[in-house]
Amino acid sequence: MTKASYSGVMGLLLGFKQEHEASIERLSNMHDIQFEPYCKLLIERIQTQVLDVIDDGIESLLLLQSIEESALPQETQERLNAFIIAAKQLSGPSKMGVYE
Amino acid sequence: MKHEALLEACEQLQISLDVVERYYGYLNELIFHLESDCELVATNLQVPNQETIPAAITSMRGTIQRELGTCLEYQLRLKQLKGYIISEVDANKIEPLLLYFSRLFASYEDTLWICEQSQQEFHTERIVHGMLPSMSLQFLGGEGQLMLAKFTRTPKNWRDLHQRMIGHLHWLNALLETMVDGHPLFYPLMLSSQATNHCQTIVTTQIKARTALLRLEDVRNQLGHQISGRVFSLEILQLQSEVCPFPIVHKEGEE
Repeated sequence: MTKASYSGVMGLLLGFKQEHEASIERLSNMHDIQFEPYCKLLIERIQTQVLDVIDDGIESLLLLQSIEESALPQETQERLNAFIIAAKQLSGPSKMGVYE
Repeated sequence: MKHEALLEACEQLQISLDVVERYYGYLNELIFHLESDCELVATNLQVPNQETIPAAITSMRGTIQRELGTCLEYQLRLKQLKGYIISEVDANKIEPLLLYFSRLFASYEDTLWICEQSQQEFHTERIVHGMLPSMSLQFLGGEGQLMLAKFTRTPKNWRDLHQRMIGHLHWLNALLETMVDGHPLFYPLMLSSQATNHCQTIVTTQIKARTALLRLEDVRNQLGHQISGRVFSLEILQLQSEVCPFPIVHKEGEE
């Protein structure tokens, strides 16, 4: 990934994060007693399966933006890129999986 | 008159063999430094396919020993031949030895001709066991010795070792370029070059891990509020586990 594309990906990930945070807020504001257990379950899933992964991706991007990629060992670059790819993959239709 | 001409040819061949013997000595010294540097890497850092490094260098050392052994045998036989010529013994004893040296004499003549050419010449080169190709002789007599001088200092840190690895790669590849395909040293040199490249990559990773660790600490100070999550801690731990202090190297005779 090039430095120029980092900011684009960062915007994308921050956008996902906002969307999911908004979803959590909506779910938290549902006060219908019959939906409460499902809302709790969904919030937990979003937090653990989506937000944590996005946070890891954002953190990896911040590190790659702050340090020259060539100055990092190959394995570190690969690990950080893997976190970013995992976070980006949540943008596709698969992200909806947590709501099913 | 014939004896005089033969004795003169023997003298010239003797000089040539002495040079080859001396240059094999330089090559042995270069290999010694390469071996100790690669050993330093292999024993202190986690090296994948570790066994290939000593195997490549041992193969190189073995080939040099075998070739040097042949060279020494030539010298011995040459002394015998000179003795026979001086004492004017029966031609029946001299003839087989002259036959024994015929290929070597031809190689010597070829080498003289090749050295006179302005450009590199590989087509005339004759592969003779115990001898070195003309271009290899030129390299070992010049740049090879200069390279040897570069390895006299003991490495003090991974950066020193990295520079030495670059030096080793340089002489190995330069010598490889002077080799004729099929020369006994060709493949051991190629394998040693690959092993050295492998070692150099590992030392580079070590240097990068140390630099990255320092940079990560800086980044933590700069962006502390933004990064305090799992990735950062994981990378710090990973890099800390990779970083290895440079071993204290004692040379023989040093306190």
